[in-house]
Amino acid sequence: MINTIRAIVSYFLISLTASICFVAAANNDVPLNMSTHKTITQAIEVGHTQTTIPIVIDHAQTLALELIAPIEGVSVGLIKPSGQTVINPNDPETVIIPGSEYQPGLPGATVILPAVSNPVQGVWQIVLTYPEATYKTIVIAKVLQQTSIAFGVAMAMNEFVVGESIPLAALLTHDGTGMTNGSVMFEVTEPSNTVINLEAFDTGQDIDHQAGDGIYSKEFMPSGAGDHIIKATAQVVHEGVSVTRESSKRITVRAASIDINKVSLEPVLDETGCVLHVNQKVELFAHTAGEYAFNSGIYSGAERIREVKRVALSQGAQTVSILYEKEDLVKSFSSDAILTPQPLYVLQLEQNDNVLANVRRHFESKLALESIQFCREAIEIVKDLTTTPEMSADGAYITALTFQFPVYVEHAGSYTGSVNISGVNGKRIDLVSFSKHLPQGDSFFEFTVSGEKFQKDDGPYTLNSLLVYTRGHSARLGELGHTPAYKKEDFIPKVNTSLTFEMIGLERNNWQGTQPVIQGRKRVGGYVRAGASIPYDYEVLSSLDLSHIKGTLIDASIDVVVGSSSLVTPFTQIDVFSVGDKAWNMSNVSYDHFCQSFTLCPPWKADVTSFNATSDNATYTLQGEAVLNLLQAWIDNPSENNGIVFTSSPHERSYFIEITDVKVNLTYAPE
Amino acid sequence: MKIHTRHNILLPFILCCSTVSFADTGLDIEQIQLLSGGSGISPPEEKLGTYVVDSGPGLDTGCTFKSGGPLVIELPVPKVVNDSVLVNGKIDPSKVNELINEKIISAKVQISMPVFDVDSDASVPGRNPEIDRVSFNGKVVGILQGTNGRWTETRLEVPIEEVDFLKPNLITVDIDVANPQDSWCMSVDWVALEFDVATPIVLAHGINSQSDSWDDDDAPGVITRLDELGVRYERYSVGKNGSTAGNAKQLATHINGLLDELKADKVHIIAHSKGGLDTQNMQAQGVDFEIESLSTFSTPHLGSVAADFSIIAMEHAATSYHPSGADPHGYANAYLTLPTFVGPQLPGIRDLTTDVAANAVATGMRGNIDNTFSIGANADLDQDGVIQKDPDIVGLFPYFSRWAGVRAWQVLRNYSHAAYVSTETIVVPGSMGAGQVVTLVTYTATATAAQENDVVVTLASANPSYAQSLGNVRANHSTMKTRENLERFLNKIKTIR
Repeated sequence: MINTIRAIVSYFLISLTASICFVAAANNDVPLNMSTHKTITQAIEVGHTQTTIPIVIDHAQTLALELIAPIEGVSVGLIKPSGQTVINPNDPETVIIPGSEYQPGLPGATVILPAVSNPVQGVWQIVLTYPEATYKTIVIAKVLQQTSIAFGVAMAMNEFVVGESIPLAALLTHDGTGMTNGSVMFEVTEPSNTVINLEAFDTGQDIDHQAGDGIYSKEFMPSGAGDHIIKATAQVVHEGVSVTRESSKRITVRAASIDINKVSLEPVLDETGCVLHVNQKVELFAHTAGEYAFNSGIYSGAERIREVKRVALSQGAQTVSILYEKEDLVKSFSSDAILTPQPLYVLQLEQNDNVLANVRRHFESKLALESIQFCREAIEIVKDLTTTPEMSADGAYITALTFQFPVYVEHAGSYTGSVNISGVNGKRIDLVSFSKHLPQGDSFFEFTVSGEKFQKDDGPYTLNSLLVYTRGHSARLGELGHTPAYKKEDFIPKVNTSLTFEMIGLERNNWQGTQPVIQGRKRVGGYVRAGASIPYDYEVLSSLDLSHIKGTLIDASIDVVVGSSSLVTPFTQIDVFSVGDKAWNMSNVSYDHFCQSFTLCPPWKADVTSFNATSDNATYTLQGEAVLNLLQAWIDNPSENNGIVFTSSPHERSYFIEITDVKVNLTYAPE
Repeated sequence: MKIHTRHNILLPFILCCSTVSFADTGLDIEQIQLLSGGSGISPPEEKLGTYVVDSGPGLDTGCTFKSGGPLVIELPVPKVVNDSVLVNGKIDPSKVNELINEKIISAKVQISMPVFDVDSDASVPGRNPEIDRVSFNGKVVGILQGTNGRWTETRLEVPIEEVDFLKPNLITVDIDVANPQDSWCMSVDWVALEFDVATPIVLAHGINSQSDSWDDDDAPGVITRLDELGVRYERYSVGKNGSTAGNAKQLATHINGLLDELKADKVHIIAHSKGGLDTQNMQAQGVDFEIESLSTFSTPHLGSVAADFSIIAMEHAATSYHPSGADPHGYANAYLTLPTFVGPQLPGIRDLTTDVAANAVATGMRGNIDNTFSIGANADLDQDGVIQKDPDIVGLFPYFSRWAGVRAWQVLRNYSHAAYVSTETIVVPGSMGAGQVVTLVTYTATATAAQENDVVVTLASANPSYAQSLGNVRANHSTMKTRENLERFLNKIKTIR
């Protein structure tokens, strides 16, 4: 072995004094093993009964030892530098795992000694005793130290290509903080066993990227291919004690299997001059045929696209194209981006390994996206549907919906389209076809659908399965958009009608007579039925047949005309109830038909509304949601006996007011 | 568009009786013939959830009358969900709502078909308008809508449970069912079935394992949960102790097979331990599909010092002792090749080292998948800073070697020290327009702390900066593969759709 110090005058070192630029690359933290473990071996010869292994401790908080002793009957003790036994051979805390526990069994045992805290500086001795050895073997001691002074080779990469400069680096820390007062030497053993010693510095100069961070660096230019052993040694005086730490790493330097001679970015255009994709064109010479993976990408500031291109290369000069699709460019970069290729990292793909194939070089090539013509598709549909209703002359309903949506076409010509329209419940409304001669550029399609079509289902209506085509080109869109939430009745012409209720008066006077009197006189007043102690009660029952009406009510009101009052106005409140019971008619109804006792009759289904007759001889209009819902229910469930009862309880037999007429006014969309 | 009174006399009748229609469309007979030969409407590109038949029986028939029908078109749909939700090739009706709610598959399938000359709005005395009835696997699903002399696209819907994922689906068009005789003709260019379906999932195992490491014994509830979910998933065995590069090739071959079957180009990968490294290596080698996400159960993204020790010991043993004659019986060598943590062997274990990790991360061979999610584990279940053989090591090592697990955990936690340095890639200007690329490192002071770990991988290594950590769990390296932890990944995967 020849120990030399090679003077390296590298072009790299010189170059560093020139300007450098930084490349967009994943800036991930990489791990370093900073452990200070040692593995020490000692021979056991035939006839031996004891083996002593010295270990040097300079600065540690804890010492742990694990031994492989392939010899039967072994016991292990530990002696500190002063000669005092720290762990005696029969220490009960020592763990012995016999080799016989393994399959197949092994002679001897693995011995784990209890940890020693704050071991003093100096040479310790591990002492193994055993019956006379009958065979030759070795004992292996793994020395584990917990120490606040850690050291490790700090090289991210472990493989290089001939021609690449290697940034040797090692990190020295105390409690996680970089130590700058150390002395670090690298010993590089080349494949030829030539040893090169290099001193490293944490000065921020040359190859050292940052001063004072605890990383000591030195550039090394390998002379050829092969495995190189990088051994780093740090010496530092800490609290008056000279501490030594060692770490090593194996790096592989390979002959390049490809030489990359040029990398450029260029747009690839179609026959009309529109960009199809950007080509990262790699001109190379392959020394070795095989399968390769080109890991690269393009970036602009923080924006980037990562790409891996796998390609089989034959031996010789050739060109590899790494393509970046137009869609990805549009998605990933702003329009004013200037694209730069990332350095190529090419792997030669072997059966069970990926091998660095090229010297990593960066070729200056930029491409401004603004310089590229990003042409549009032959047909581009813009998902921006507008819906315009056309109203009937009276403004009562929608006669048609006109739809419009933007479209861009590359070439002027006749274009045809179709679109499905469906209702909110999925019912198909219509398939609409349309044609139009479109000028080149931005334009729009417009078509009108009759309101009758929308009477099938409520909206919002969905326009889907849009297809636009011309000779040689077509565009499809799953969903073009929705209309507002129209109702199907919005499209139905409205009918207005007024109907008059039939009315009878229902009266009970005192306890006279078991049957109530059906009066020709229609009045309300007296006492309330329920709980009335004095049964004078006047009510008005009105009936309306809506069975001939089919459709959806848009508007409804009930006009109640009141006549004279027995009181000085205002009269008291008049309550309006709907009659749920349908098993009656105007010819057979009695007072008790709706109520068999003086309780509130269940068939008086529910309050519809109430109003105060503030003036006699006046008309009061009942309307609102309750009235609308009541009348729609009568329409939906046809019966001749739709009843409304008017009651009032001024709590005096002589208090009443006449109801002379009840009319309903309906606006509805017929079915 | 064409009214027919006698078979095989198409052209004269077209000329005779469709004058108005021609005038409407502005097409002459040659154009009609030309048009009916193909719609010119491009079918959607086949992909996961989109399946197309563009040739074969029932398609491109020119213009077919009732007597020439029905048109029967076969369209196979691959098995995009897993077997456990299928009954006789169709989705189990009792499970379909759950699949829809979980967004594994859409409720409806869209049937698209460009149809030619469907005169659904025709008004010809003595003839009913053209009604062409479409059935899907024997059930009527609607009628075609169209226009005289034109290609239009009809879109119909069927419930997803009507789709057969094992046998070809039959799309039948009964032509002109409203007329007793041949009156109207039509044709179909192609048929596409489109529905939304979850990207398939592939499970990648760790070192010294095979695909059965996802069985219930080793990964309780994981397979059951995937079965319940209904998503199509597969688990493949690659090299038990193979290198990441070798395993990546095998994994890519398996995934290509799956995606080819499904016409898919994306996959989610859920990996245990080294499976996550195999996956990233696969990405670095270049694949034809997109790895939409990578979810890792305690993958040593940044390496494992435990693996470093094993490698050092193995290499030391291999090169120093036995061959030198110092240990002629190879006893020491035999001990050394009993790994620090039982099982993992060369060459795979080398890829778990911090050395390989540093190289891979620095060169972008790891951290190269955009949606990477991670979960780490701490084997110290009671968090007392001491590890017990039982329960902390149970499930990871066989009983006789649990001591090795205890030792490995202690070494990783207290006697190993991994520092993390930042890399920066710079270009030094050179000749011929090319600069040299160099990766340099810098260090920022970091307080040292116990390296909590799952006996094999530290939390720091399991959760690298390029991954989105979904938290850490109390379990060892093996027992962390549970249904609950899987659910964390599934919740993230769902958001990607």
